[in-house]
Amino acid sequence: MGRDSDENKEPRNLNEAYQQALDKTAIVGITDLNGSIIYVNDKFCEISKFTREELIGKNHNILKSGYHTGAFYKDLWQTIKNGDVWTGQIKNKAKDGSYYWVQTTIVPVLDEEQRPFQYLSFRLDITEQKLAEEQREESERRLRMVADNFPNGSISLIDKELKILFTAGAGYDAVDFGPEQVTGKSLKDAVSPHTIVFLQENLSKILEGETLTQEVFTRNRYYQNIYRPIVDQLGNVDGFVMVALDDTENKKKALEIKRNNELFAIGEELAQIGSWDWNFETRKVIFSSNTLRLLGHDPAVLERSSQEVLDWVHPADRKMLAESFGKMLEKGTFDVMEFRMVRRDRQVRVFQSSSTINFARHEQRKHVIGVLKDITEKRKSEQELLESKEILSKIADSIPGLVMRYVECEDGTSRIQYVSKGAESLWEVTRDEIQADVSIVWNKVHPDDIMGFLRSFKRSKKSLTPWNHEFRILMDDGSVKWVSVIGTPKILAERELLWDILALDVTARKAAEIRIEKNLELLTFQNTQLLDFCNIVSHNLRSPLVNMSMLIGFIEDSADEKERKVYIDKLKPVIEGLNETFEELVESIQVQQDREIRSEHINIEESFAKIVAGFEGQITLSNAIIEKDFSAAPVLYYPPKYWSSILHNLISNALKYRSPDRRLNITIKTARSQKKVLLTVKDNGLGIDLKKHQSNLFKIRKVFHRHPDAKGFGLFITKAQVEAMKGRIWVESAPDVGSTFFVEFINQ
Amino acid sequence: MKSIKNLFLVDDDEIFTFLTKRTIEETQLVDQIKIFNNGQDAIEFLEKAAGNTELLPEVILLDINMPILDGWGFLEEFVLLQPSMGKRITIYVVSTSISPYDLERAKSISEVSDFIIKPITKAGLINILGSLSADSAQQ
Repeated sequence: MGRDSDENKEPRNLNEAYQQALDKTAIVGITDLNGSIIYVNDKFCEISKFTREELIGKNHNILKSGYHTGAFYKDLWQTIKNGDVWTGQIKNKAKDGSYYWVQTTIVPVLDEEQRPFQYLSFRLDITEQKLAEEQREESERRLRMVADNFPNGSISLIDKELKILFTAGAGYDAVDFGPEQVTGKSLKDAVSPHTIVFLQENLSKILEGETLTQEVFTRNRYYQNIYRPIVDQLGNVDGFVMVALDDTENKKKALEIKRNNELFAIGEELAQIGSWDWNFETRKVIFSSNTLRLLGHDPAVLERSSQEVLDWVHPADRKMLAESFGKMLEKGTFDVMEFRMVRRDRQVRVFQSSSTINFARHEQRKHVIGVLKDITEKRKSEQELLESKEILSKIADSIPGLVMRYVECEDGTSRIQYVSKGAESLWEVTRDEIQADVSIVWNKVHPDDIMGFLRSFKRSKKSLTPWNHEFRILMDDGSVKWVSVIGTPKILAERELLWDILALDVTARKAAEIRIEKNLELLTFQNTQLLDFCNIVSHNLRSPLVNMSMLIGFIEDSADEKERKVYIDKLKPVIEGLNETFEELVESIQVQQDREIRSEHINIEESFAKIVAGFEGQITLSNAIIEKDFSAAPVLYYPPKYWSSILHNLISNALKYRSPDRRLNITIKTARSQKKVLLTVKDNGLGIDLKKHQSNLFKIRKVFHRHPDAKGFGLFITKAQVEAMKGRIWVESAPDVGSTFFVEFINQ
Repeated sequence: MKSIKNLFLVDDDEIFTFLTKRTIEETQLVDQIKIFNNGQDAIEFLEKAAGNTELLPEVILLDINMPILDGWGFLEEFVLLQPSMGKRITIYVVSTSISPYDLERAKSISEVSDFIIKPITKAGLINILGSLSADSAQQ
């Protein structure tokens, strides 16, 4: 520059004036190609706070603030080294360390070859402007920081044309776009159609200065939108602030609470339960409407004074209720109360209330909350059940027998649910003993009856059909009772059987039955005898009488003396026969009537020997073999006369009806089983056709053989002698094979 | 010519058969009277005479109470024999029995025409035999 001013004198004044003007307005400096300062004007020194002497010869980077990057300086140097002009804003550091901003223009000074040999810089101080800009940026940054962190939604600045000037907020986290994507765009691109419709309708109101709110549900979220107009100092509105509060969580909670309350109300109604909240400080009670319905008061008025509520309580229960409340407040413990309430219609109902102190409200022991249930019906049916149980138990106890209900478990144990008083006198054990172990009942079953008892019991248990059985029980003193039992088994649970047992003392009835049975036996026996007697009269007595009357008729009608003699001669055997029959009958009747005849112990061997001796002649004549074996039962307890007669008749028959074709063999044996002795007389004689003669075998005057000695009396009297002592006689026989007579003697 | 050729008297009571035979003879309604002492003998005769109308009887007077085979036993076997007889045989039960059971039993057997309680009189015999001979005369 200096060189210019030296060489061009003519425009010197203009140059000087230009330089002067420049120096007054701009900061001017010249450096060499390396950046060493060659020239600075006063303003340079003024702003950099260096003296000219301090600056000349120094590199320009003495002013470097460190604000700009290496690339910034590289670009600058590249430009000017190429001979181009560089302009830009540079932050420099003054000598005192303060910073200043300069709007800089660097012009390379070119030599003849158009290569830069110096750099001339002009700077304008823009520090004030830059600071203001920095401050603005800072405040905008802060605003955005605040706005970006606007919780639960967004805050936006909208102009009259609904253009989004600014928008931010944490609410953008919940949507799939950010504020930068919508800033500068129309609100229509960012919000829900509901909002747009609302604004189209209400924008004029907002622009007139009104603040509006709107509830919006969009993108599955709830928002509360607030539109507040922006008013300048002159009162003009040129836009509005839109605050969108994301209310989703609250809304959801509110809905949940609402739903819970609805559910609770339905639950209360279904369960017939009511709830209440008693505040002792405010002396107010808040009910659910169902509670009031249950209590019989207006369900619409939920809040009641405690005095009113106390008036609803049945007068007799007020004191108790107050005391219970007092205790609960004192102790702070959960409690169940039962009390009566009087409904508006004067009906008295029983309620059960479970309550607890509500600690959650930070008003310790000032609140009691609870639920209420109408248990009138339950109490009534419980009372009825109790009464009917008492009645049943009274009835059961009045039954003269055992009434018992017990559960039989699979492991064999039993639980007695009920046992009646009558069990004690029938079974002669206490109820406590039965309670302790039910087997005490069944252990008393008579040993002789135990098999049948178990059989019938098990059958019933298996088929689950009623158990009906009669058996004896053996008392401790050895006496016996007859018991008739009816049991009903029922499956209670898996592997558990419920038994309802009723056992009655039927000893008297049984005794009567046994008597009747005996009487019936006797009657049957006597009836048979009467029938037999009728037969005897018909055949055995009437026959000779008929003959006699006919003979008498012939005698009367006959004129011939010789003929009459014939008839008279025929009368004699008839009368003799009648006499004989008559005597036999008398004998048999004596046997039948002779019930009291004395039994004696008979040595069978000895008596047999005597009887056989009487048949000696016949045995010798017929060459019969008689075998005997009395070892199994050598002694018989029987009337000796009958025994001799029975044995005599059976041996006599065997001898009489022997077969002419073979040698007679008679086997006589006795056998014993329990209290009975069985006599067997077996022969190989003619035998009897039992098909034809079974029914007449033991009847008087019945003969089955063409034997001259057959009279039909032996078996008749034998049967009488057997049956007189309650024994039995029967025969097995086959014609031409032989007969075996069996005689069973009882009470041996 | 007597209308009843053969009459069987089945009874073990000798006095009764003797007297009854005489009474029947006096009526002169029967040609021949055959006496059997028990049911077995009578059945055996009938078995042998089956089909021979000359030997078979028109009427049998049957006692109940007899040895070996009594009247009931006879009737049981007779029921089986009758189809092979080739002749109608009328049976009267003639018994001393006054038992209603015997009467009932006799009535239940269709082969038995009637039950006559002994004694049997001449008039009674004429009554029975007369009606029988009238029947056979009609045939």
